[in-house]
Amino acid sequence: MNKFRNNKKLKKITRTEKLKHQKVSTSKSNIKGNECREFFQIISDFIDLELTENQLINLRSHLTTCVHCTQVYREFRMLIQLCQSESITEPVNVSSQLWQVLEKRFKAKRIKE
Amino acid sequence: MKELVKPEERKSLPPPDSLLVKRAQQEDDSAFTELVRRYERKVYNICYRMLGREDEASEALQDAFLRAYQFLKKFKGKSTFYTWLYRIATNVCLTRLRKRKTALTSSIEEAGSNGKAWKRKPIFVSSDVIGEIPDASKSPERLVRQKELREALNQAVEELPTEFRTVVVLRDFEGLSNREVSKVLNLSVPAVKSRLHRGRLFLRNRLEQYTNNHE
Repeated sequence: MNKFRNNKKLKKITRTEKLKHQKVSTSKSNIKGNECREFFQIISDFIDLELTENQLINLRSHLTTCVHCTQVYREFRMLIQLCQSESITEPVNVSSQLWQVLEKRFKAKRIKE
Repeated sequence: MKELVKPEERKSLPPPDSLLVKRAQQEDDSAFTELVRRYERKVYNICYRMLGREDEASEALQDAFLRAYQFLKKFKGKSTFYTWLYRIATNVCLTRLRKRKTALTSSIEEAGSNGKAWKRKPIFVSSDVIGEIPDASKSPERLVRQKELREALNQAVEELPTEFRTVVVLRDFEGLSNREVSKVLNLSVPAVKSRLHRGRLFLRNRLEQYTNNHE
């Protein structure tokens, strides 16, 4: 009896393996260029974590095999990090000019009233 | 349910924007002043990134807050105050950019074939590889290369088409989410994502010589 049960389990595993294999072979039958093209189109979403889990898994797996897309990914990430690390200091004179203008405006309103 | 904030601590918490807006709408200028203090730097950053010049950014900053003051009573609270404010600031900048374009076109026509003024600033080509941006790098050469890269980035942002620049500035420089950007610019989220991607592509192409490996 146990043998049958084990066989059934084995069968299940085999079916799952088959399905996986089908998916892999389907993707393998695509020209590699298609994956690169797809990656290029959604790279921003990939970096911003705006993809579904399946998409993330597929793309991560693509990156492990594609040197070109890995380079593109690094460049994008570096660019975004650079933007995020950029800081601007508002000059003191700009701030004081703003406050002067606002004070004038508040005063003008008070006079009107 | 356990209170997360003790009553005595609640008094010292700054008032939320919504409360300040309500007070300002009831002619309380000190409330509006506090709102300006909170967002002055952010609005200046947006203006500077959009316009690329300190003097123009300063004027745009003033225009933005004056308009916010003028139209505050029309703000219904359907969005957050800062979304509404950033929209005003962005529109002020876009108007200035449009006027700049018109002025440029007419002076090009006047100047004729003299393209000297429109010559692009040459981007220094570094032969070294610049990889990840390290925060704590202290080597002089690295600092120089980083400086060049930042200058190149600033120039590239100035060259970005306006519709991409707004999204890149709000999203990548100012850290707003796609959703927030969509509200500021009155676009759909997919439209924001599309423009963001194209803007980043543009910048990446411009900075290629800094990020590619040279053999």
